[in-house]
Amino acid sequence: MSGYSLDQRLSLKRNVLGLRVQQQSIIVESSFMETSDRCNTNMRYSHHSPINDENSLIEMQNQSFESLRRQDPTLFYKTPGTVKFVRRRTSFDSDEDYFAKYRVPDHVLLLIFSHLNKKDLVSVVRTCKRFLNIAYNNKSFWSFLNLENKHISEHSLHSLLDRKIEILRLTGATLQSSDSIPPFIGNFIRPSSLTHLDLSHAKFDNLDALVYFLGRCSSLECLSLEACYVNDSACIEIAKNSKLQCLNMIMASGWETRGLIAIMNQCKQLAELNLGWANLTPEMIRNFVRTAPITLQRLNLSGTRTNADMNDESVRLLCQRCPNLMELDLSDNNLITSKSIPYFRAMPCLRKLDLARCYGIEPRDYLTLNTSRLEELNIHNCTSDEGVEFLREFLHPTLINESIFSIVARPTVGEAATSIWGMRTRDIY
Amino acid sequence: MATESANGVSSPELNERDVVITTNDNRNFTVKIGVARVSKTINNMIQDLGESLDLSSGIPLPNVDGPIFEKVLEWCEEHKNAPEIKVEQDPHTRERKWFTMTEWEEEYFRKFLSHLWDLAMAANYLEIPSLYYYTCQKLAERIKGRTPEQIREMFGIEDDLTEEEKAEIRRTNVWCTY
Repeated sequence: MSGYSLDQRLSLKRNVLGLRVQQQSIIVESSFMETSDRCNTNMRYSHHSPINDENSLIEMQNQSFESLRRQDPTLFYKTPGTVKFVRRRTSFDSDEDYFAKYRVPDHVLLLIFSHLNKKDLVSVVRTCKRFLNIAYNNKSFWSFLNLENKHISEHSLHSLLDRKIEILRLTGATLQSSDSIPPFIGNFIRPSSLTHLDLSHAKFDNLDALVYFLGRCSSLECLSLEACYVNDSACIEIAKNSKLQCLNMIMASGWETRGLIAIMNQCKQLAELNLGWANLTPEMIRNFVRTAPITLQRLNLSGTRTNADMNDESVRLLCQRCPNLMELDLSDNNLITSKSIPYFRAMPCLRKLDLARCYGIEPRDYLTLNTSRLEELNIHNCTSDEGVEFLREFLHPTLINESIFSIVARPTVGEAATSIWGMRTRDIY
Repeated sequence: MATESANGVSSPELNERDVVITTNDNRNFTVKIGVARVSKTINNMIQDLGESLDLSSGIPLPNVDGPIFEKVLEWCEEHKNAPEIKVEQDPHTRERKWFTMTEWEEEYFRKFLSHLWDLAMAANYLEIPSLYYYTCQKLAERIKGRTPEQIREMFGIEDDLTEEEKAEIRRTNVWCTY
């Protein structure tokens, strides 16, 4: 800066500010007093400055004293942030006030906002009432959101439901219940538009908040409560989603028979269900195999281990009740024995069967599966490597031990990073 | 390139003929029909007039002023033979896909950065999809990454939100600030 003359400096500032300053006069704006003072100091020591010439200084003073006064402070306000000094109600580039000059129609604003991601939309919402109404009331702007591992308050969550969010990823999120729910939220009974909800590994500091939240959901198609602590009240709210097709309860805990039965009885369209390691009691299993929806195509019922009721009789009932099963995972159930093999064989649609670590089954009896139409059989740890090789040959073309993990009903699998059940939750831009 | 039209007034020769267009500040622009009809509004007027079209008397544009129409014409000249733009959305999320602009278009918007709203409004009225969509994308680009204060300042918007409303918005959108 010190290399510039005062004139240059002023003109630079003029350019930066876009202010029209008369050529002959020096206007010192209050906001720039500090800089101007520095200019004046420099001026005293500068031998090249024209103002150093006494005559011209006097001449200039005569001309400029009138204009050398503080700028009206109401024309300026200070905003913390990148743009430090901004003029109120005018634009930097032109002196036109666009919104006063035109009545910008809503559809133009909608088109502009449709380019924005969630973060920018929130900035837009905070701009003015009109933008708020337009941005909040257009559900396509808020149709999906990824809040993985974030802390989110009950307020925020319900506000998102009010914005008609459809696909919400809350994997690993922490939900904080709000002490006081403001009246305009407190009165809601409006159902949400959520269709895909991933609460895998989410934490709630208060189960009532979860029940309240699920209570607003009635059009869910896919839901994951992987590793969540739930209770029967929550399950009864889940059961109200009669369109539910995909439910992932792997490693869930806290629920009991009443909740499970409610879901089985009311979700008549369930096609995928994951109950692996879901802390099922013998009573729950007894009830499940008698109430499982006939529509089930993929089921994971692994990890009941030595649960007394996960036995051959249960397998028989299950296979009878769900003839449409294409994929069945019964890994880690120690009480299933060779007696169940004929039930599997009789399943008309079964293509994938997982029996890893089912030590109750005699490996030789897998040979009887040669008449089935199985495409894949996973029996990890059930027989020796040689045994696996032999089965591969004998049961060809059925694949043996191809996959380790079951992906039944799980939201984010394979190469997906933030998609849930194939739906993207991340903004492109 | 001939543009087919319903009543057959369109032909390569017609596109080469001049038409006078009068803006709301009574400025007359003599424009080739082929350029003018990039605007669907003007094209419709020309078609409606059909055989009775008197090219010298002029087409009035009550909603556009001269300086802006001049800028719009620059766009029309460049895009007279351009195909219709395709507005694409992500099949899953219905998110709008951004257009890729040519060097010329980028330069055009750089030049008229301070008139984006005028251009958007004129393009909206004149029904020039390419200019309308591209200008709106440019405006979105300007909003991106800016704070509410900056947006207000940039577009000359009055801050009419109460402190309570602001606090509520902040509280319900904490998730986007970190």
